[in-house]
Amino acid sequence: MVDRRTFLKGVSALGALGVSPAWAASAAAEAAEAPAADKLPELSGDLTVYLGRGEGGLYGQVVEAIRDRNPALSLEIRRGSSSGLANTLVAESEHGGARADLFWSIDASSLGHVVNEGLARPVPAVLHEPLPEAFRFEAFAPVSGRVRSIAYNPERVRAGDLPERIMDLPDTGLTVGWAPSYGAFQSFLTAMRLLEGDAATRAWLQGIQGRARSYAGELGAVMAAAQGEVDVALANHYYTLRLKEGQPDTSLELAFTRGDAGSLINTSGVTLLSQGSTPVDLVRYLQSREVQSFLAEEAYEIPLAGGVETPAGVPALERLEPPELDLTRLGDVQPTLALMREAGVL
Amino acid sequence: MIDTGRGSTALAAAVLLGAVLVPGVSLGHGEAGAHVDAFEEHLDDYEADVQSLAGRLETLVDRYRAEEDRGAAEELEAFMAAWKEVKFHAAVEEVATPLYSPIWRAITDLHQALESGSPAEVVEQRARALRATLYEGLGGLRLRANLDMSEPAGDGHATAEASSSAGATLARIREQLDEAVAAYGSGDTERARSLIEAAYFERFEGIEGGLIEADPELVTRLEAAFNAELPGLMVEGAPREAVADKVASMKEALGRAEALLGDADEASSEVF
Repeated sequence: MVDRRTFLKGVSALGALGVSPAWAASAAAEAAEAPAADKLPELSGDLTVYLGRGEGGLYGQVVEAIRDRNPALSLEIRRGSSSGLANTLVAESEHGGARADLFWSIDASSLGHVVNEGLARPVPAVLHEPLPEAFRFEAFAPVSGRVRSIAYNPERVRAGDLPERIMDLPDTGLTVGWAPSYGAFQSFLTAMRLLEGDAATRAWLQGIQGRARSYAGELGAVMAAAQGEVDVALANHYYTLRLKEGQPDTSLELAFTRGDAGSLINTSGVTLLSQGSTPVDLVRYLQSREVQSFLAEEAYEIPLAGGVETPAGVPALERLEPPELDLTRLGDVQPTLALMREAGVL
Repeated sequence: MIDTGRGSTALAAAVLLGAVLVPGVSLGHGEAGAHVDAFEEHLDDYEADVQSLAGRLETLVDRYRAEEDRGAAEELEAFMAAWKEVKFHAAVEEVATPLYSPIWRAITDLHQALESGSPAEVVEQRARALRATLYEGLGGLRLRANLDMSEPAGDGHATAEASSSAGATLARIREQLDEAVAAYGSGDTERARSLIEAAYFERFEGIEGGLIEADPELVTRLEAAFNAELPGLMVEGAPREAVADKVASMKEALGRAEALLGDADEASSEVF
């Protein structure tokens, strides 16, 4: 198997569509240095974490490592699907109170359901400080990010033929691979709806649909781009990186649009559900240099805390131009589903 | 097989299904009404809705297995029409909201399997996955209505089990496969299939990401075995020996996976 670091250094075509200086400055300058784990307070007492299943078990590995590092901490971990755990938390709140101190979800949309029910406690300043301004949300603390991308085979498509705006994709005539049943795609489309409006999103869907091929998952769509079944694939960035690690000779590159849903950075994140310093301090461990680096190197996630080196190959935050969007609004997925059904995509 | 987050699906699905075009389907929003405001009093109605929908899925699979492709498509249309109308639809959409979109995803997956002419085992697996999301939605409504705070809460799949190494996870998968063979041998096919699903969804998916990088073809073979071939043998009523042989070949592949993941573990960094 190719060594991960070697592989990551070999991936070269990220950020093909340029960078907004304003966003780069914002991302780099405002975030404080991620704390080193040995500078953080030792955790103690009882703590219950609801942990959304996913990321190949890496999130669980992180939480277990925090437990091992803090022997005075009695940590109960409850695993489940992020959507199921969100529903459980709402149910618990309706019947006496949430039983978890923290909810670490693999995506912001599940957090949105919890936030919308008023269960999330405000995020204190100490958790905002290591994050860029754009990720300082009132109700949840992002941990690591993944960006929407356009995966393309450079032997079939030139970077210059790709649109700078995702809304222009229908006008390019390119064939598109997508996975409309995938949660990440629906979050992307929800972002488009929130940013561009229902009518524009409907027109975008209808404009692409005739040249779109649907796949059961985004890895399948990316593989199709590599194999020439489609010109481009719309997917989270890490599928391309995983595929290229397994098959280094695959002809596949990534590109990113500017300031729109096509370059949405969605995040995993944590909502605080109880008072006290221990839950907050546990999140500080998640923002530590060590955990941020671990997630970047092992899961290709984008580090969000300041001063954490992004492994070569993983798109660096300051090289991206995501839209400004409160990610908790991505939980508003029902209108998106309705729109997809109306457009005949779902 | 499809997950909201990342990585857990796609390789086998792409191979099994290939590229498929999604046809337009006109769908509705379910019947909203006063029942949603008093959803606690309508749990029996919702259960009846889910049972009815599950029955339609069973019919759909039967017809597909009988190579009545047109009939299966008609059953899907009937399922969609019923799903549009039932009270359960609006209840899960309005009350157990986080569990609503997974149902649509599962419907789409089944639709794709039918449209692409997938093997019957795949269609059945998709139908079972859809049925699971329906029951998860029903469970979510029950939880919202009747949560007993003296008992551990859950979403039907939540677990407080500690995470473990890839080796331990694979060992437990092998145990579950052995248990599935034993259950099948004793005539309890339902339990056998539940064990297979648990082994796949609860455990294999957790190690799949790293394995894709190491040997994507191996992932493809195992996904097909978990989701189509082994359940297919059971549905067909194959001899116990045939099921055991299949499990033996899967365990051999899992051994290969363990070696690969062991190498990967040695190469990967510790968190701290």
